[in-house]
Amino acid sequence: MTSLVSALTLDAIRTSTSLGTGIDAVAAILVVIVLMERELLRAYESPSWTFQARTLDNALLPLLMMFVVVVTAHLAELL
Amino acid sequence: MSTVLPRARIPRVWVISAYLGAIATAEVLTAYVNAEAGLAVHAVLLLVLLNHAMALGPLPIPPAGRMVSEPARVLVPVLALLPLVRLFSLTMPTRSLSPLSWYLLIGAPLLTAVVLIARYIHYSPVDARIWGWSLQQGLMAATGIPLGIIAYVAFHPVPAVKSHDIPYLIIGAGIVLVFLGLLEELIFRALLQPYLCSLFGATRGVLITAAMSAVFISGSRSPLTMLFTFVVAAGYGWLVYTKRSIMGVALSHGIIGIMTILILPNL
Repeated sequence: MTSLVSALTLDAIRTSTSLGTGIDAVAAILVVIVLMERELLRAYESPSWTFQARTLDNALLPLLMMFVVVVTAHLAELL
Repeated sequence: MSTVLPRARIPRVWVISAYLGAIATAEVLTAYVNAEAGLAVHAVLLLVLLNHAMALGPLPIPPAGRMVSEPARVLVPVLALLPLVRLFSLTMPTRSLSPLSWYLLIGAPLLTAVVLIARYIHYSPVDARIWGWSLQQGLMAATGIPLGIIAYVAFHPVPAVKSHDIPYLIIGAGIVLVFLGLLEELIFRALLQPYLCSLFGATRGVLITAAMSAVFISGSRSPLTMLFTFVVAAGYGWLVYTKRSIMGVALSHGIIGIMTILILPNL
C-alpha cells in the first residue's frame, strides 16, 4: 500500500543497466529542459524573474537531487 | 528587452479536472502499458503545471489560519507534486541498495518538493492544525495494525525486507513512518485534499483525493489493491476533513507500511 515503491519500481530496477534506462533518460531530459527554461527567462530579463525562478525551483531543486543520486549510482555501478 | 505578460485567468474547475484526469492517465500508462511513455507524459504534465503556475502569478498571502481563497490557483502548483512522486519512485531506487534505503532516496527530494510547494502556496501546517494530537488520533493510528494485516494477507505487497536484525528493523520503521506514512499523507491529505474540497465540495474532494491515492497504487498492478487503497484513503480523507490533523492517519499509514514491509514478512 505505497505509491512510492511497488511492483513497477521493482520492474524498473530489474530492467536497468549500468548505463541507465529510458526512464533515466526521460528524467535527465526533464532536468535539462527546466534548467534551460530558467536560464532563458533570466536572459530574457523577465520583470517577474524572481517569481518565475521560484516557481521552477519548486521542481528543479528536487530534480537536481535526483539527478545527482542517479548519476552517482550509475558511476558506482560502472566503476 | 522585456515585456510584461498579462496574468492568466484563475483556472476553471474543468481545467483542474483535466489535469487530474491527465495525471491519472499518465499513471495508468506507466503501470500497465509502458513505463517510459507514462513517465514522459508525467514529465510533460510537470512542465505544463509549472508554466501554468508561473502564468498565474504570485499567490496572495492569506490571513493567518485561513487558506488562499482561490483553490484552483493553488491546485496548479500542488498538482505538480504528483508527477514528481512517480518520477522519483522510478529513478531513485538502485539495485545496489536495500529496499529500505529506496524510501529514503525517494523521500528526501520529495519532502524537499513538498516543503518548497507548501511555502510557495503560503501553506502553514501550524495554522492548518495538521499536527494536532489527541486520544482519537491515537485510535486512528492503531487502525494501521489490522489494516496492515489485511493488506499483507490479501495482497502480499512488495518489496518485503527479510531481516531479523533488530536495530536495522527499528531504523527501517522510522524511515517507513516518515518517508511513507507522513510523506504520502502530507501530499494527499494535507496539501491536495483541502483545496480539492474547497473547489469540488467536501464529499467529492475527499473521494477525488482517495481516487488519486488509489491511482498512484496502480504500480502494484492489482485492481483489488487499488480498491482497498481507495476505501482506506477515503476513510483517512474523511477523518482528516473532520478532525483537520493528519497525525493519526499518517501514523496509521506508516504502521501499515511497517507491518507489510518489515514485521509480517519476517514472522
